[in-house]
Amino acid sequence: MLPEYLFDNITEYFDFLARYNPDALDDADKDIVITFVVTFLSPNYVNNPFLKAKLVSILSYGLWPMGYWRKGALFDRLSVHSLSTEYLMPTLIRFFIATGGHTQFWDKFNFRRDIQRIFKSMWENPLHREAFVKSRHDDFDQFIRFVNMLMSDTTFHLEESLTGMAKIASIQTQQANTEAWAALPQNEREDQESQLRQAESSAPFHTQMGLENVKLIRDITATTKEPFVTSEIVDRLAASLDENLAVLVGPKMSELKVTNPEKYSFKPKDLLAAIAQIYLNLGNEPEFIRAVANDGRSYSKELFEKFARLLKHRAIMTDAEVAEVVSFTQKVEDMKATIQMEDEREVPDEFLDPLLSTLMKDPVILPVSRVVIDRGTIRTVLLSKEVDPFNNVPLKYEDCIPDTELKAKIDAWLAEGNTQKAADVMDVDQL
Amino acid sequence: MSGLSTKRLMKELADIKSKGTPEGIILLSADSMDEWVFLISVLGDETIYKGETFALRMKFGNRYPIDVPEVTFLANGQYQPPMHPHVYSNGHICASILGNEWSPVLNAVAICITMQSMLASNKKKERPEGNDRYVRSAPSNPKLTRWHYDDDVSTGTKSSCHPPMTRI
Repeated sequence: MLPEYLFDNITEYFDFLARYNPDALDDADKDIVITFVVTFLSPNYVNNPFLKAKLVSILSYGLWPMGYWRKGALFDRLSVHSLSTEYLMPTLIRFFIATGGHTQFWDKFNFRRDIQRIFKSMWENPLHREAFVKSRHDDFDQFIRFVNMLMSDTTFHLEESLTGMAKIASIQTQQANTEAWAALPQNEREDQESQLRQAESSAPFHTQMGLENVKLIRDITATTKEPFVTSEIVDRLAASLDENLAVLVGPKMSELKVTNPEKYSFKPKDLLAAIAQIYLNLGNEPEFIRAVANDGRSYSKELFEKFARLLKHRAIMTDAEVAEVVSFTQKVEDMKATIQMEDEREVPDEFLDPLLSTLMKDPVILPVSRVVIDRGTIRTVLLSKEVDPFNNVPLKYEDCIPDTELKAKIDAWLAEGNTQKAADVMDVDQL
Repeated sequence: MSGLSTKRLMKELADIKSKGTPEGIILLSADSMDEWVFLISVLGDETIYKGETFALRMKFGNRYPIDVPEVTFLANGQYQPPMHPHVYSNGHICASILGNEWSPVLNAVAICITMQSMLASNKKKERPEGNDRYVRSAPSNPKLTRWHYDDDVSTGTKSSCHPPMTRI
């Protein structure tokens, strides 16, 4: 056991160099720094999350553009160092997940901002991408947790950002009407002004983080689609994208018109472009199409038509890409028709998920309570708390028992529906 | 309506229509699928809320029932939140089942029953400590307040509980 201060001193020293004098480090020194950081970031060595966060911050500063170092002083070595290419990505994912647990609500966003900066910078490197993809295979559960947290953060930041923008815009509009503004009682004006100041001070952080998060998801989905279309993530992703899209291009769009968007780092065009790219990245995945079709809260054909027009007229995307958005919309509409047809059949009670009342696709039996539930549902539940919700007994996902008998019944029932559907289609042809 | 919550809410609504609600709890409106209002009164002669009726509003997000709904007592011209040491004058409620003790096994009616029993067991009409300070700076969605529960887990509502002293 080493005392913390000893470790802390070394960390502070490296942090100082990375931050203020990277030129003092030659390649061999940088390799030492990288070895130190990657080794001690891995589990089992350091418990204190704040110490680990300092390690991450060294790398994050090392990737900050500085003078001659366009991509940051550590970029080159991080791209080739063997410990880095093999372990950096999985280690960061693990630390990202860990920041959700034992640290403070606000601290974790600072930690994660550093982690994301590293992700973003390293993502262009195929070796790092490979390690990232490999970590998905090695430990799919960890990976799902990571994606799930990334989604939560994104939703949270975008919501805070867009409500902040709306608040700023509304107060600015009031102030622009100088007469009416002057006529307001003084305390009301002061109250509005303090609300404006509060929104102005917090909105830029969330705006930047929201955009960064969306871009990270955009970059990951370009090469790695699978974790985003698993049942515990896909509905959430679709709902969140649709919801933000509805705010950005829907009837509320005008509420976001602040007079000086740059001041708050608000870049609605960039945000729209990144969101559009995520739709395109996942546009051929049937699970994603179904999830968007199922989202009756924000999705509408009109919204996507407006979206496509905006992408075209503001020259946010090329015509070919806009055409892809249009064809995606058509796929969603087709899927909606299919879903409606499915809905019209009465589903037997024993096929229904006990929590969501939806048709189970892959039923499993919970080992202690013996409740039968859909695999995707229990997985989602266990992401927030690892207990059986029906009796509060600790439960691990791996311990759920597949209910093969019931699954066979459901599959048979579905197949029966499909033949019926085929028959219906034939009837239509004959008309 | 979206992914998770739709079918579940439809099922809850169908159950309420066919089986009814427990005594003292009435579904006032469920005009839109994602926002319901219940009327709650406390039964019996013992209660300090005799003759009073409160309106409890629930907003269901698209992650319901995995995520807890947003639950507040209405505070408007027609309804006032009950005077209770865990209920703020803006209708926000500090109860752990609406926070870290939420379970997807619970449902809208179960929340109403918990609120009803929380009121039934109260002997003294008073607001929480720091009510005015909290209400002045509270976010409109109580789920954004980081509540501290000084727990009595068994009922999810008893003993003291409060918002953090400072919010960032």
